[in-house]
Amino acid sequence: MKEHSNLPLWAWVVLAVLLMTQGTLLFRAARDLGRWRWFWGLWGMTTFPLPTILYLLFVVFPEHRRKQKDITEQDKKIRK
Amino acid sequence: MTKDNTGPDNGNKWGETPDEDGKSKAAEDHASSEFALPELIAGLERLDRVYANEAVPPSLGELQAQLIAASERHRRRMLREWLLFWLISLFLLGFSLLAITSAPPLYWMVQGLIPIAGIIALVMRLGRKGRGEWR
Repeated sequence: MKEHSNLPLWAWVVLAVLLMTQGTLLFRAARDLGRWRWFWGLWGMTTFPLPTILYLLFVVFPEHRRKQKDITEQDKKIRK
Repeated sequence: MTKDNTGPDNGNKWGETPDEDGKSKAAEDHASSEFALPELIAGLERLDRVYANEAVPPSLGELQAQLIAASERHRRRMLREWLLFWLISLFLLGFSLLAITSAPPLYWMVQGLIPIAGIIALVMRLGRKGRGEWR
C-alpha cells in the first residue's frame, strides 16, 4: 500500500532485478530437469523468495534423494 | 454336420468318385503352386531390391548436414522459448509491481492461489500416475 509506494526507486529496481533473476534461473533449472518450467519461471517472476524455497523443497531435494537412491541400488547390484 | 449321401449321386458330382475328386484337387493345387512359386520369388526379389535401396546408409556429408540442421532447429526453438518467456515475464513483472502498489490484497490472493493450484495439479498428476494412466 502506502509503505510500498514510498519505496525509493533504487529499491524497485533491485526488486525487479531480483525477481527477473529468480524467474530466469528457476525457468532454466526446471527446464534442465524437465519439471514444469513455465510454472516455476513465471511464478518466480512475481514474488520472492517463496518460489525458490518451494522449488528446492519439491523439486531439487526429491530429485537429489532419488539420484542417491538409484546410485545405492546400482551399487548393491554391482556388489552382488 | 454329415454329408448327405441319400441322393442319386451319393453326394458327389456327376461322374466323380471321391478318389478322383481328391486326385484332381491335388493336381490343381500342384499346378497352382507351380504357377505361384515364380511369382512369389519375383515378388521377394522385388522386395529385396526396394529394401536394399532404402537401407543404404546416408553418406557422412548427409549425416553431418542432418545433425547441423537438427542442432539449428533446437537452437531456434530454445531462442523462441526464451523470447516468449521474457515477453510474458515482462508483462507479469509489470502487473505484479503494479498490483503490489495499487492492490496488495489482490496480489497476495494470487500469490496464495498459485501454490494451491500447483499442489492440486501435483496431486492430480500423482493420482493419474498411481492409476497407471501416466505414460
